[in-house]
Amino acid sequence: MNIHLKDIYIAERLHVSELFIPAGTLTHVIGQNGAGKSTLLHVIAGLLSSESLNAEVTITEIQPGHIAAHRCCLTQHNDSVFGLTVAELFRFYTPFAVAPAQIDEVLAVNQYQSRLIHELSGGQQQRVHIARCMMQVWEAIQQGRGVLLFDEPFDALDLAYQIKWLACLHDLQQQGNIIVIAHHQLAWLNECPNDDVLIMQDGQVQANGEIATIWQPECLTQYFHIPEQHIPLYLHTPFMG
Amino acid sequence: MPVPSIQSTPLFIAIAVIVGLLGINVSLHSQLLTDAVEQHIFINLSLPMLMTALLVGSALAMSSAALQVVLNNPLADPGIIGISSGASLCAGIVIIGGVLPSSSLIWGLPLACFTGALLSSGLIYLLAKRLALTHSAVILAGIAISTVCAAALAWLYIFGDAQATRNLTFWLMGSFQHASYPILAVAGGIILLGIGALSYHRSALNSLYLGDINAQLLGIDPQRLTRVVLVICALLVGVSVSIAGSIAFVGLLVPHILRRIFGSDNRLIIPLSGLVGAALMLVIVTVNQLLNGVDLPISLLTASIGGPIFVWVLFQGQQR
Repeated sequence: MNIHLKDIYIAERLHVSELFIPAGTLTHVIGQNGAGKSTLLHVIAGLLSSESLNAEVTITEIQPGHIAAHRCCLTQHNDSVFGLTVAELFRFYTPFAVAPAQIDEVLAVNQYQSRLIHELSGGQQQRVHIARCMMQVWEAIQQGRGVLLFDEPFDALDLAYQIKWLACLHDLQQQGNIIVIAHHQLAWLNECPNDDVLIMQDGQVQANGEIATIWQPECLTQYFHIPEQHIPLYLHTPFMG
Repeated sequence: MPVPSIQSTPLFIAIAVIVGLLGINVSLHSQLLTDAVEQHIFINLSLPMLMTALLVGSALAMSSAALQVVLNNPLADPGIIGISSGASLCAGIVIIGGVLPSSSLIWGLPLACFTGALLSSGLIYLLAKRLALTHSAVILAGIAISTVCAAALAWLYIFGDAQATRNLTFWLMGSFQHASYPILAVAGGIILLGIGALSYHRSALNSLYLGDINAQLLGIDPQRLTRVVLVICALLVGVSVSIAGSIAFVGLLVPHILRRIFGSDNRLIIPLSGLVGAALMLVIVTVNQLLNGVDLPISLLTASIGGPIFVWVLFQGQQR
């Protein structure tokens, strides 16, 4: 199972001539605001279609009709004006009434079962939505045939949960699942040298490959326009010469 | 833990209440088995009235329950998307304008209202489509159409004679007494089809709570679902207004209260709204029957009974 994108063009948002994401990888998609990170995730998820005629978005070995059982995508906006409980959310959007033990161990969401979502704190809500997304494709994940897309999942998550959840994702990656995370927590790149990074700018992929080989101090200056003297201490990576 | 099935107890209770209310209404005709006049009254007046109440109550409450979800607005009701306003305007033209001879009013009025409801729904749909069919576009288009219709109706009032305007006022506040069997046969058929169609989509509606994108991720086409539900609701409301006038508050009240008590699962809320809406309309008919002789407009009763209940439920919700 691989993701293959070809000739993707969406005016003023995204232009990717070719992109290949193999099974068993965890990719960090980074870039400035408006660089096209969310658009890229939405294209992979099948939410947006390319405007070009020869565009191809393929997830090999997965029938297009079964995509919803294999691919999940955490989007940035998940609010409801209706007072849904966590249990209802799980029932409406996943095949499970409660989170499977493995997910609950990491995200501790089952304790909120009877609570209204909008009464939870921002971080608690984020954990619930992350759990919901993973539960949607949990069967596929367990077979190592899941495609997990997350758009800014670290937002509002406290560090303890970020650590636990990322460790869980690395386990799932080992089983063959494809994981793509768009985020702004660049410090995580220093911690995960064996993950992949995909740097975006102006709707185009500027660099793509293993973090240890690609992530350089120049990247911050080149793609984020941060002058060298302004690079914060915590972003001075072990591979920064 | 196994996946809990939806509770069916509330559905059975609602059905029991409906049967009970029907029983009370039948028992009001004490000489039904022996007296020919009583039989005639029951078959030609009471029975069509009861059937109208059942059909209209379930159509209004059920379509509102669905509209609230597809428009992503817990306070939506058929009034908010302007379907009933077109029907009311056509009723005004027929009653005040004297377009039809009074002998043909019995079928002419429902027909005119239905045409009006369909025209206004079509217009709202076209307007909203030009505005990209977002939730707010549908509501905005509805408000625009309602305002235009209300203005036109107000002009009619100015030029109408006293008796006609009084007739129109009563009609606009809703009544179950206009229905006849031929009209009921047509209206009932359409309403039953609409109810069936909404029930068919009740599970898919659950995927719309978090917005269109999350529904799309589950493999559902939210735009198509919204369009289909809007068309079904327009038909249901159009037919209801045609046979019983415009009835306020039931649509907003019933699903809103039910969601507060039983949660948001549309697999329960959609059918339960239909049953409770029907039961509520039967209560109104029963009250009207008990008040022998005085035929109170339905909207007067729905607002009088429903308003306080609504306030009570709001306070209950605060404490939850």
